[in-house]
Amino acid sequence: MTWNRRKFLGAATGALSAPAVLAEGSGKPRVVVVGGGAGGGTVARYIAKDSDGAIDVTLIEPSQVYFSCFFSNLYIGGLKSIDEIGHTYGALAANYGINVIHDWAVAVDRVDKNVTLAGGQVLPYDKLILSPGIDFIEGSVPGWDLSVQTKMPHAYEAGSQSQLLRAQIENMPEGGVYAMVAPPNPYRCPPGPYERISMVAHVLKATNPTAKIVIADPKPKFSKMALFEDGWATHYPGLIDWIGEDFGGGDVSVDPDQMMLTIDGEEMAVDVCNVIPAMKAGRIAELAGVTDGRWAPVNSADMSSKTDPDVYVLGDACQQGDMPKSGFSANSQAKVCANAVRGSLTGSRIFPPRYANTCWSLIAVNDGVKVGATYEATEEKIARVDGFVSQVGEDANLRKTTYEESENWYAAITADMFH
Amino acid sequence: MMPTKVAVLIMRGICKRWALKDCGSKVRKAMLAICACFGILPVAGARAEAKDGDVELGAYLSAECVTCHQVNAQTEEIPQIAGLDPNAFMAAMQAYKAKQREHPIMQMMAGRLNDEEIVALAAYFSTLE
Ligand SMILES: Cc1cc2nc3c(=O)[nH]c(=O)nc-3n(C[C@H](O)[C@H](O)[C@H](O)COP(=O)(O)OP(=O)(O)OC[C@H]3O[C@@H](n4cnc5c(N)ncnc54)[C@H](O)[C@@H]3O)c2cc1C
Repeated sequence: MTWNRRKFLGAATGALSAPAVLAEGSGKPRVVVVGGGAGGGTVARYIAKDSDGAIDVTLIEPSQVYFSCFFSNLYIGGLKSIDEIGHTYGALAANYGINVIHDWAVAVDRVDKNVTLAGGQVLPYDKLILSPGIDFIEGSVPGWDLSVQTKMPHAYEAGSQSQLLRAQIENMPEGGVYAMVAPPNPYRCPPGPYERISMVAHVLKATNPTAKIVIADPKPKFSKMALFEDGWATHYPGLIDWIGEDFGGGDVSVDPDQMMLTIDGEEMAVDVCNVIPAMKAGRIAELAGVTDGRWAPVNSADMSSKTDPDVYVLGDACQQGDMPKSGFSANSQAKVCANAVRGSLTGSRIFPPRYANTCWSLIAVNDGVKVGATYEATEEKIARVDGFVSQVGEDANLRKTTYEESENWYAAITADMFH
Repeated sequence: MMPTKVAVLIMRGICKRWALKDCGSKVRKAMLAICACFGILPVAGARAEAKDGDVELGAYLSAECVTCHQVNAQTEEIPQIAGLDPNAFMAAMQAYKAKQREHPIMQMMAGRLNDEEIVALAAYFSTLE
């Protein structure tokens, strides 16, 4: 690609509301969505549903079943089955005519506007939407790479990794040690590691009460920290040892063969080692040339890439200003994007962007907490407007209601993505 | 405590319990009228009629609701909105917005809706079964 071409593409950003860019040789504009998760599933569904057949929507996703990371901690805690967090793509095809292709996107040509799949197929697009989630940064935890994820699972992409981690926890020797290497900011689901710890503690308290949990954390504090610490002290006293940045939690390495973890120079033998490495945008975003550093910068008005107005990046892969990397956020961004993409391709009305997020976390059975915020698009970023967080000391009924709410939310958001 | 204050508190409790629950529309309307007498729900904001609302805008805004409120299923804690009486819906949104009805998420979400948007949402939801 030449610099001139890039410059031309960049200059076209203002043409967002121009109607109908028709693909050559086809009666309909074509949208290709890469990644069938919280961002991709939602955006494909909304564009197809709301355009009523006026836009060709293709969704590329390698997996036949999407295991949601949300609620995967509850699976690890034994509160959900693996089937309850698995979702298929049939309804997207059947209800909205979305062309679901189970394959990997391996290359993006932004000049000729097409995507190449691992199977060799080349798909032209008028608008390309990338929502590939995350990949891990190699070398961020010395001693760990993807080849040892069967020994030291991350379980930060759900499915077989979650099943492996749960099995390892169930098979821990009496009085054994579960260790977590927590990730540095920014990463997918800020409260996720700590909800995970809560669920592991829930299992161990019942099945292996002399076991220990150690967390090596490169951060000085974490999401909903006061709520988690209070909950851990109440439900799991003495079980959890959190080693933050101040105590060398960021200085770790692992030896998967020996099942050893070194924190701040001190070696310890562990029975389970849940390594959650540093993260970056899913590789296809990098291959498409829309990342800057670890993430893909986007225009907050419509989630279009700052590099190319015909490419949009949603969810964890994008640099999303004040929004946390969550399924709720990805779903919210997808709706703004769908409205903008549909408007630019068919001339339908484009409404002002609005974003929101709420993250529920479960500390113990029926002890749910939540944090949420609304966001607006500014020139600079997606900026926080208003928010709330659960309080320490709330009564048990409220906490139970909060958990039940999260179950309703899970049913609603997964229906919003896949049905 | 002053008797009127007690009455207001009782009414407030009843309103919270009923305004969005699955009671008959007559009962709901009566409840809302009584609530209005006590100055509890700012029904003035709901004076605009749902039929005047911008359905397309409502459809767009509703996408934010359905992340938690399933369209076609009745769930325990998060109520179904579709099929709700439009006046009850608008009164509830205004009450959340004015922080007269409790729920941190709903106060936050309704808090940034203007009157036109609330009417648009009511108009849209009333088109659903
Ligand atoms: C333990 C845990 C708990 C969580 N809990 C919550 C929660 O309670 N609430 C919440 O809102 N969020 C939660 N999250 C975060 C949430 O899962 C993510 O933020 C969300 O899934 C991001 O959506 P996404 O579309 O960016 O990525 P994903 O949902 O991960 O989807 C990406 C998809 O892209 C596909 N893909 C990747 N590369 C390619 C390619 N080259 N070609 C084709 N397809 C590709 C992948 O197979 C995947 O299906 C949690 C995360 C974790 C790990």
